[in-house]
Amino acid sequence: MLKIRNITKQYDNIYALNQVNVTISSAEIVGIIGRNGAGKTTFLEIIAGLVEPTRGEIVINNKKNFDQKLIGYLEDDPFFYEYLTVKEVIHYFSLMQNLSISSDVSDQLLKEYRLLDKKDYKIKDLSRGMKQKLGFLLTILHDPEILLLDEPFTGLDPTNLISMKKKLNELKDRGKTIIISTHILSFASDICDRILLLDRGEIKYEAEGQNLNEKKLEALFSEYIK
Amino acid sequence: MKKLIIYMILSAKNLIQQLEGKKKRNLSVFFLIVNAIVIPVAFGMILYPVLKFHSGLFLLIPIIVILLDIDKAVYRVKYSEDMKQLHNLKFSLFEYIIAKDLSKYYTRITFIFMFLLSFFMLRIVNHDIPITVISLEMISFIMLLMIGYCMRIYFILFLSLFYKVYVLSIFNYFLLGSVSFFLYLNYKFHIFSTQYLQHPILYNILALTLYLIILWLIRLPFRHLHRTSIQQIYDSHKSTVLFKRRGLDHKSVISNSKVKYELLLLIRNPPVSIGVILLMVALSMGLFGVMIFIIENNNDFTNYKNSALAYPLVMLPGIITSYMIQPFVSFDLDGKMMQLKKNNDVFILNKIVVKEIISLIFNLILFGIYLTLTLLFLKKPFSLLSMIIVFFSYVLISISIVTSTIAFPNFKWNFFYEIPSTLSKILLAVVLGGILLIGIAGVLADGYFSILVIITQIILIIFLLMINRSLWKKTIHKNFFSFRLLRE
Repeated sequence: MLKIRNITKQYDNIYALNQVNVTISSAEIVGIIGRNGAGKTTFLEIIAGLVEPTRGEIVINNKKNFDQKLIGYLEDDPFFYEYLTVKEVIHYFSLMQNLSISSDVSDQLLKEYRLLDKKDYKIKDLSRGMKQKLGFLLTILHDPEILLLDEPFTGLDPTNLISMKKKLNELKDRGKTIIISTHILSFASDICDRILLLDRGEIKYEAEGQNLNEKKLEALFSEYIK
Repeated sequence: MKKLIIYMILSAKNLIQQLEGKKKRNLSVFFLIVNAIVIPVAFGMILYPVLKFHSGLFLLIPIIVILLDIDKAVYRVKYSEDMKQLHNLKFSLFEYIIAKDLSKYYTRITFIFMFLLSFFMLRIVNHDIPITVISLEMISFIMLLMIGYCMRIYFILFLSLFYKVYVLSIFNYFLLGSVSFFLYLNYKFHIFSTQYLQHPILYNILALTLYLIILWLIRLPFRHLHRTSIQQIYDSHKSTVLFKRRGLDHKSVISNSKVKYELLLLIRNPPVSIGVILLMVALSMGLFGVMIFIIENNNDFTNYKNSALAYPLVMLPGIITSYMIQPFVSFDLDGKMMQLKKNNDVFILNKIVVKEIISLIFNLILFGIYLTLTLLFLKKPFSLLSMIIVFFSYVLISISIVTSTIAFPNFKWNFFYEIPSTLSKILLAVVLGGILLIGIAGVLADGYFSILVIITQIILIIFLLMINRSLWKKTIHKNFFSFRLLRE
């Protein structure tokens, strides 16, 4: 279980996040929506430990000093080693995290993510969508309990969007906590158990159950974000 | 022209603005001024007594302007992030190349110009030759500078369209070789000495005419490209990519060795490449050769041929090379990836270990080469204890190269040559000085003191290794200033 308690992030006089309190249980997918600059990335980066909050704390499984390996973070513009091939990057990242995977296992993973035919391509030659998929694969390589995904669907074609949705549901069934920041309301309403509407660093609304459909979310957007 | 000037001002401004804090920004401008004005003027004053008799050497300006840092220029042209934006802004192919090249190369041009200016100012002050001749000479050299730059642009275009970037550093050899060759010719046959000429200006005019003819000839095959768009560069890059996509690319390398992947990353990366590594070795070997030559041909040295002399002989080329190795094993080489992984201790520690190992490999290869050569060339070389001291000095250098980059990282670099940060280089200089001092003391002394030095060296190695494994936690958030940010 992930508890976000009174998280505030202040840059000079600007509040990127202000008194944010959220509790997210295991096997739950939570979507974060909001306009550009609402604080979505800061929110994820604070949980990932990349940004220090001005105030507040993150608690995972009732521990304040938790192991960072519990978290997997996929940034909005994944950065790789451009001159390694897809397969080399997987092996390199696993080695650097003291995980050892065989060539067959990496092939299997690439097959699952429809990247097997691109295994010998250098990263610099991949499309944005392929990089996004590879980024996702690398994020879950060390099997984290909490997945933080910043705009994970950018650049994905409809077929890959459907397979990504399937993957996320599989991970949820395995008890993973998933937080997704996205602008695609239809996808968010489709996959998330709960959606948080973030604006000017504050959670303005939480939608779940019947309120989770695209039209209602659009209405919420126009109501809260002016 | 206006477009180019605006682009250059904006790119310089953009680079300064990306520095966090007013202090760093002011410092970058200060360094820029020192580099562009103070240093060349000082050089002009220092070299004036020699160059006033050999001003024909200035005829080499075009060769220097063409080849100097050509690899970096081609890299900027081919892998520019704003290529599409400049295409949309209707930059022609030539405007684009000049913009990308001059955005950094202007510091070199200013350097040469200020150097020439200070030299001719001194000529005027000293009344060496009539002022009309000085003026004509100055105009001819400035014209040479301009012709050299025009040739450079054609050369960059040629290389960008037809040449592989990762073997480009070979042109640095050409520059080094040709300048050394001309200096040798001048030393031997006085071909650039003007003191024996009655009308040196005629010599200049002849050279100028020759260069103009060469420029005209170079221009001929590129005439049709004069008004074309940046698309040419983009297409040449794309065709290489498509060629590889036809299945002709290499197969993935699968290994359980972290070092192998790290070396792969280094060798495959265009700005690093194997050519640069060869250049490092060649330069330090050259220095080594010069030192051997001086020692072998100088009686004063021959009388003192002992360990104390052999130690700096083996160490100095290695120390020079350590500055060349430093960027390849720099903690910040992976850029923002390191900051993203800052909570993943295992990843970062593995990275540090791998960098230490690569640094050790580089340095111990050099140690092997220089030690063997020293043993071959010097009649009374090292004692065993001295050899151990040299070995541990090399190990200390290897580790401290990495330490210096962990202490002052600069993760937000745009081009490879902006790392390591200026403070990293200064720290390395201080540490290298310390390592040398300890080593010399150990080699000069005998017996117990040498053993004490070896023990100290081992303790220092362990200390540095521990520092490397803990210091990164304090510096991983930071980005230190790089002097090379605004210059080539």
